[in-house]
Amino acid sequence: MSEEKEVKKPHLSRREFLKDAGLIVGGATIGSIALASACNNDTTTVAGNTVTTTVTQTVGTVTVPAGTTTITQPGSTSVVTVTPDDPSLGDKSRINLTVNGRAYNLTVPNHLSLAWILREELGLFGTKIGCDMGQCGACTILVDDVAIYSCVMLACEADGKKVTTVEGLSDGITLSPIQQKFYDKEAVQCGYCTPGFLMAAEGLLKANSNPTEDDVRLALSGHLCMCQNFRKTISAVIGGV
Amino acid sequence: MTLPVFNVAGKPENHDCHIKEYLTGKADYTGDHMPGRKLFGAMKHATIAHGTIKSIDATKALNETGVKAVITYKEAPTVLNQTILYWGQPVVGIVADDWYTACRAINLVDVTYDELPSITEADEALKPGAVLSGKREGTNLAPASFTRGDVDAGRQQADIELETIQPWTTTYQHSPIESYQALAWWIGDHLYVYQGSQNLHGNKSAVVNYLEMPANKVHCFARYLGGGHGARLSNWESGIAAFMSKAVYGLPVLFRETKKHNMLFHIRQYEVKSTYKWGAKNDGSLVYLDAQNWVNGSGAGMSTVMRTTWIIPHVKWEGAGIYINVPDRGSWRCVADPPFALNMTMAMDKLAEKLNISPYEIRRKNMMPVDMPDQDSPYRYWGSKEVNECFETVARESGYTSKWHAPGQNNKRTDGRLHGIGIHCHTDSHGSVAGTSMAGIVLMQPDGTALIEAGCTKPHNSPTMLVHFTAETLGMKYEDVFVGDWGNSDTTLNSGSHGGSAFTGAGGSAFVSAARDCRAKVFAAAITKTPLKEIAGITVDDLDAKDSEIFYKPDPTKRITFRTAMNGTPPIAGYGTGWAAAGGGTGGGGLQRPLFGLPVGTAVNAQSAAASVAEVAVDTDTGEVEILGHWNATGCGRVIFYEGVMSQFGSGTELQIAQALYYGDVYDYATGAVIGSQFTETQLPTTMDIRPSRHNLYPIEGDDHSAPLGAHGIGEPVVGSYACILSAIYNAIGVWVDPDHGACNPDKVLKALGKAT
Repeated sequence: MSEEKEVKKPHLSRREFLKDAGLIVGGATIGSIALASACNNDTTTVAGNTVTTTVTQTVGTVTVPAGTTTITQPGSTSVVTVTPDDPSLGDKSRINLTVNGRAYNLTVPNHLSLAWILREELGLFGTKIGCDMGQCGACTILVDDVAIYSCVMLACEADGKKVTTVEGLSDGITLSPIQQKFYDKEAVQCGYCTPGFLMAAEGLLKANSNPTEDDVRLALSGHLCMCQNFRKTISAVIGGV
Repeated sequence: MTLPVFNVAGKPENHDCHIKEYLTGKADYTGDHMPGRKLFGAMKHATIAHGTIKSIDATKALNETGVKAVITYKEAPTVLNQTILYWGQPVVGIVADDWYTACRAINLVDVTYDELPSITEADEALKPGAVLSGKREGTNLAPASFTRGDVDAGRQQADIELETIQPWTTTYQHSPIESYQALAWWIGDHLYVYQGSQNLHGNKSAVVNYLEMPANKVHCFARYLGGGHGARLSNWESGIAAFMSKAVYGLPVLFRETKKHNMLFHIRQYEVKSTYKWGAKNDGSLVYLDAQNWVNGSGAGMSTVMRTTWIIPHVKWEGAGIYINVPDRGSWRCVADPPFALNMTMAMDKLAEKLNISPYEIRRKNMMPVDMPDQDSPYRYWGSKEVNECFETVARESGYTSKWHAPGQNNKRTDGRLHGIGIHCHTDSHGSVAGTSMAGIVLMQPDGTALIEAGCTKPHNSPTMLVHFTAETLGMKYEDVFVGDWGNSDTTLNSGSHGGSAFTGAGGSAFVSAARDCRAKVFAAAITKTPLKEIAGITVDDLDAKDSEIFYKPDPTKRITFRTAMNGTPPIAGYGTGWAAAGGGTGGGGLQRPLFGLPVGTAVNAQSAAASVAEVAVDTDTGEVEILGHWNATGCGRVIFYEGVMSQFGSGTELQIAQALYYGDVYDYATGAVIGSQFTETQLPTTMDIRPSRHNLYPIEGDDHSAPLGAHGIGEPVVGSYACILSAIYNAIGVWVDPDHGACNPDKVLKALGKAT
């Protein structure tokens, strides 16, 4: 399978690769432009402003509640053509985005993910980096109300987007309805994956306010928890808020 | 059994003290500090299994934009080594502006090696003349042995004998979602390190030694960590981060392992291979066991599973940990024993079949009663033992005896799949009260609320558990006791390591002692206040406390609040150290209350127990196994933090389901190389693999007379799911599936059925 996509941004230098939509498996969480790991770029080639990456992960095809379909097959190839829009910025881009209701005008290195910028530039450490390659879901946030993995979305792609992180679900004192459900069920173990699960659940509930056990299992299936506390997490989301 | 009534402990409504921090993104893990102010470190790893570094050329890396420093074994001799003992051993560190630049730069470092012969297959290590890995002097083996009675005599008594070889059990990576990392910075000649370690004060000691610094100039922090699993006892990362920061003049450096290397080089779990020779009488009673156990990559050696669960008069047991040119292994969750328990269950089921009795019957026949002492010197009793109740609970709740059928017989379901059911139980060393050197501080504040100062991090609700211990002992409401400072080596005493579930005993007993000390001091203040001071001859021994009020025992209407007692009194600190169940004697350990006629102070065993039943349906066309029902019971002693217990228990169950059915092997035995570097490749289970409605959990309470408030540790629960699921598959298809170092996935089931090669 081969796909082409154009991104009007300067040369994307960070990981020297790009992969197109799809890498993500299952659930309400989707990838925007998925990035391969810096450590696993051996299948990526760069020619001028065109970056070609062969996807090596084995994934499936899943229809998510939000109506988006993820599309990746092993061995598929994605081609991204990059068109510089402001050469004076070099390897950086200017972006405007709204994070948790607050407007930001940022100049960001093109090779850094949205997760990185949220954490290291804005100090929003609630968004966790786990695998950093679109597999574990710890970095899940909402972009325009759809749950995505922010480690596989470049910050420069977020221009004009509305972003919600776990810090934006509530004021931190009075919990949001889904945070309260997690509280009531004590759906936390070590807690590192919890923000990702919360954001995926929030994304699911925006599309399906009364999910069944099977709905929840599917919607959260793109998230890993090495403490293996799925039982409580699933229970917290069943039936909505 | 009638258990003492708790006022605070065990209440399901008591939530984790820091749960809102988790849910709102405020919990600060190692990497969650100093936005925009820190540099990042990454590591290059060896590409040979055994040899010596000949040269390192980092010129190209240092010329890369954003790269700040390179460290090797020359700059960091206590944490990096010129000698390579396994593929993937760290060799060169890079510091750069961001982590991705550091990762890219490590590929620009040229390392050459003088390679030596290597050994990467455990079975090869057992052969005469095997290549030496270099990990141990003159050998690859760490042998161990154990003898009880006379096996030759037992052999003469046996009516039935069984000899079986249990192949290598499952191994898997247990990489937490948060990769191993450490953040270090210097201010003058003082070093500050944040690493999510399961042993805060142990980490400090290690850093002191790595840097060869005085302890007063090393300051360690560990508040939250993403997944402990008994494997976050590594402190090498702190040493690396400290040397990296030193190389950039003390600037903060966050060193983080790549996920690929994190997955396999620290925490890949070991597997076990066993041979068993069993002897039994026709009535099913065991008379001897002649066993060998080989452990790949760990010195765990001998499991307590076999020694402390069954009555076996004659035992000979030998084996060894095998150290080859692969990374040493981490502990299993359910620490050492799932692989031993699996091999034991498989062998015992085979013996039951030979005796023509069910797996339930052979276990019931031979299980040690709760009031029986250990069969080995020094013949100690247990503070409490719940394995029998666990076993009967899962058998009863699952309807095991009515559902069991002979292996591979009478098993066809209406949907064409084969039905199977398996049962398992064991005791082991989890939850032992081991904390004689641990200590705690309880601080009573002028407003009558209490703080605990806990020298621990927060893997799986530990400070919350200590709050329960403290509130119950003080006689205060749960909401009046808070976690003060924790995870700070400067302001806390060592509350113990979180590895292996010992923390409940170690930290718990320390804080019970500290709370008793604090309470006595507050009571002394209370008798100076109205109305208690008006009681003639009153002493602190006349007082008790409940719900944050102190009352006169002969007349409970005479009472004051803790707040009133503390009015005008400076903060009061209580200190205490823990005790060990096996300590006994004058050390303050052993039995805290009489048991079986034994006096206080008698040294006893402190162990936990588990039993499990799994019911499965096996599709013989696809090899797929579906869990239809799962019943798990675990012995807790007293439940202290209820939701914490249920989280640990449930997660331990799910983990072993994954070990039984999903985890893939991600390691090349031929070369010692890592061949799986991502979560997807290691086939981690997801929510699609777990149906909460099919999993039934039964925390079985006992009252451990040696433990703080009677509680075992359940930080990593004893769970037998791995063994009982494989037993259930056998019951369905009538053939044992060979784990072959990995989970029993459909391919292996089909192979067992002769439908695949």
